[in-house]
Order: sequence, then C-alpha cells, then structure tokens
Amino acid sequence: MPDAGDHPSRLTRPTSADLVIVGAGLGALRTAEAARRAGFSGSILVIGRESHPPYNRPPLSKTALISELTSADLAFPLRSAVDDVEWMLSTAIDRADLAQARVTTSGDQSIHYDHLVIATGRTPRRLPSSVAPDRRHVVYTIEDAQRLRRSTSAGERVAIIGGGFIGCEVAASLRARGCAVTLVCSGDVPLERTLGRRLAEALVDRHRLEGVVIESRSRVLELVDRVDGVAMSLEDGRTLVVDAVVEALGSVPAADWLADGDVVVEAGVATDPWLRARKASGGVWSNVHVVGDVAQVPHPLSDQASIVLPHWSTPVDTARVVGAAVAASARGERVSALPAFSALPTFWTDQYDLHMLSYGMPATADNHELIAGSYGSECVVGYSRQGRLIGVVGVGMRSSVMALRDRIGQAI
Amino acid sequence: MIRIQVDMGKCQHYGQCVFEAPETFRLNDDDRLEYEREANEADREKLEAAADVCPMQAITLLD
Repeated sequence: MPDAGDHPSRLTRPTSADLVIVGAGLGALRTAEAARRAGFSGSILVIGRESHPPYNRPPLSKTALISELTSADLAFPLRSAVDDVEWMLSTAIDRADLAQARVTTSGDQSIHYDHLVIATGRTPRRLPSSVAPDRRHVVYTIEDAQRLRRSTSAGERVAIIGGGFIGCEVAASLRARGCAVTLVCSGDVPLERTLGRRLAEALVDRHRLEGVVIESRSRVLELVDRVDGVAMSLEDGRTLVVDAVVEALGSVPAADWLADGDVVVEAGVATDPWLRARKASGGVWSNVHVVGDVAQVPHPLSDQASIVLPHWSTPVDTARVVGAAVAASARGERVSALPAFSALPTFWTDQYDLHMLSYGMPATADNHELIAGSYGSECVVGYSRQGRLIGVVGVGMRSSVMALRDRIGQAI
Repeated sequence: MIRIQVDMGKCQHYGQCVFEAPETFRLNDDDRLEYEREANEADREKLEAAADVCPMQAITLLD
C-alpha cells in the first residue's frame, strides 16, 4: 500500500493481472474496493499517469489556490480491503489491444488482463498557444493548482477563460487572494446552461459584487506572450493584457490510448447501462468496463440517452456498478442480471460563502421554477423536462433540497 | 465498536452521508451536521459508504 510520500517507482514489472484498472484516481480506488466487496479475489493492478496515489480533486479550484496543499493532504484513505492492490504510478498507457486483452505502457511494456477498467478521466481542453507555462494554467492536477497559486499574487491581473463551475470557483478563490480577476465566457451568463438564467444571473451578480469583471459573449481567439503580460485577442477586436490566464474550457475524454480499439468515443467512451464499453462494430466488450467521467452511459433520468456526468459523484457511483459487474463476470454470472447504473447525479459548488447543492440533471431541463427562498439569497430551484421533475438545486436551504431529492423522476 | 470523527473544519453540511447512514448522521433544524460518535461493527459497510461519498472527505472511521 503506497503512502502519498512513497516514491512511485517500482521494482516489479507486472506482465498481467486479473483486473487491470487504467487511471489511478478516485474511480480506480472505488472500483477496486467495490470489486473486493463483491467477492472478486483475483489480482488487481492499477496503472496511473500521475505520481500520486488517488487524491481528492475538488479542493484544487478552492482551498488549494488559497493555501499550499500537497497530494498527501488530499489523499484518500486506503482501506485494508485494498491492501493487496498493486499500484503502478507515474506510468502512462499508450495503447490498448482489446481483442488481445492487453494494454501497453509508453515504455513499451505489455500487460495482459482478464478484465479491464477504463478510469482515465478527462483532459482539459486548451487553446492553441505558445505562452509560457507559468503564465498559462489549467486546474486539473495538484501540480496545476500549486503552480497557479505560486505564480499569482495579490494585485496581479488574472483572466479566467470559461464560465463553467471550475472557472467560477477559480475566480472566487483568486479574488480571495486579492488578484484582479476577469472571467471571459462565450455565453450570456456563466453557468446559464447548467442552472438556467435566473439562478446563473444571481450568481454572476455576486461575482461582480466581489469585484470580478465579467466579459460575457466573448471568445478568446489568441494568446500571445508580451513583455507586459499575456495579450488575449477577443473576437470583438479588443485585446486584454493580463499577468496570467487560466483555461477553464471544459474537457475531452482521456481516451487517445483507445484509438486503435474497437470502441465508441464520443463525449466519452460509450457504454451500455452496466458500463461495459460498446464496440464500434456492434455489441459490447464483456470484459471492458468504464468508470467515472470518461464514461458516456445511458441513464434513466436522461430517458436512457447516453451522457457524460462530469461530477465528483460519478466515479463513486459508477464504480459500485463496475466492481459488482467485474466480480460477477469473473464468477461466470450474467452481468445483465445485476442492477444497471441509475445513481442520482449530484454536484456541489462553493463560491465565496455560497454553498450550492444539486441533485439530478438540471442542465437537461426545459423549464425551471423557484420553489423556495429568493434568487440572490438562499433559494431552491426545481428543474423539469416534459412535466417531470429532473433536478433540484439549492443555494443553502439544505434540508429543503434534500427533501425534494426523492421526488426527482416523478411528474410535477 | 467503530468510532466516528468528522472534521467540522472541512464539513460543509452537504448531507451526502445522511443518505448512506441515516442512523449515524443527520442534519439538524439549522441544516448543520450532527452525528453519533460510535456505531456497531455491523454498520461498517454503511459507514464506509458515508465516508466515501463525503465530497469534503471530512469523515474518519477509527477502529
């Protein structure tokens, strides 16, 4: 069992395992735990690109930008049930041959599996740019957060490109440190697509009140290094000069290593309702599962449309299904007899002293209404699609949000 | 006996633990987390699930 402080390099070079998990984040850990809980007794090998054992990422856009944190501060506890899991860290998988049931590292080491779990997560989308790395950031790994924190200080001009949750959280964190923050987003209002107009406007009003400059309906065409900073050319012809930029432009599935495989990669790696990877040639790989936000999976709340759930809860929830499926499959049982993936998605965000909690899929709503409180202060908003409640979001008012959670999926 | 610790400096009262182990965790009338300090070994799986789903990773189980 590795501690966060262990040196990642290993003496052993495994050539096979009964279960190989590619990606060494939260999804890998929860999959290994769930497989053991379901009685899977085979060997488990986790292969991850980062040098750290699994650690918790939500603080990266929040507390880790305000004070120095290390991966050890954020490490998940490793329970005794996963003591015998082998961790091969600092190792990138280059390619997979699913027909031959093997993956190959960038060091050209081939590893055979009986069961493969794809848990590689996502890769942040970047702008094409040659700006130096200490002036141009993403927030995805602990090193990213540390670099952003160390290279910015009070009074410096920072532009955040992208009006999603990460962009808004980074804006709030950098304001707390006294940076001069500009948030550039392509839509009318940041977060509007997820939360609807009114709640998004209430949130953006709070950002303005805190001193964040919002550049909406703006696209950044180009970033150029200059003596006086990074020059951002906007679509409307203006140029903004800042000391650093943060790219918070969403993500793409980390699935390049599957390019040669017979899989379907769209917004994520497409799966059936049991998270088995679909074959481009039809049917599914019975021994290849996908966990976390790299998966694109049908869900009852989306009427079985195949979707990516880019939330912290997704690796936790998908791993429960996949761990059980791997254990059942190893015993020769039918996976389709098990419960399919149906966990209610949930996410939260902390910006300033606002604590927002969401259940369901508010972004897929065709209507929403205020249920309690008022926009601009504590409130609960219900989201519906075709007359069915499909999401609830609350700013504060925790008990009211939780009480409505059980009604999601029902007619309103 | 399992001892339960919640780091109230980390806890944001999201209440995810309440769904996994309602016998141990609850939100009070002010939407603040309250919890039992001890639980039986029989509840281990529920308590581990509660610790797992905590977004702030504020829950520690001590044997």
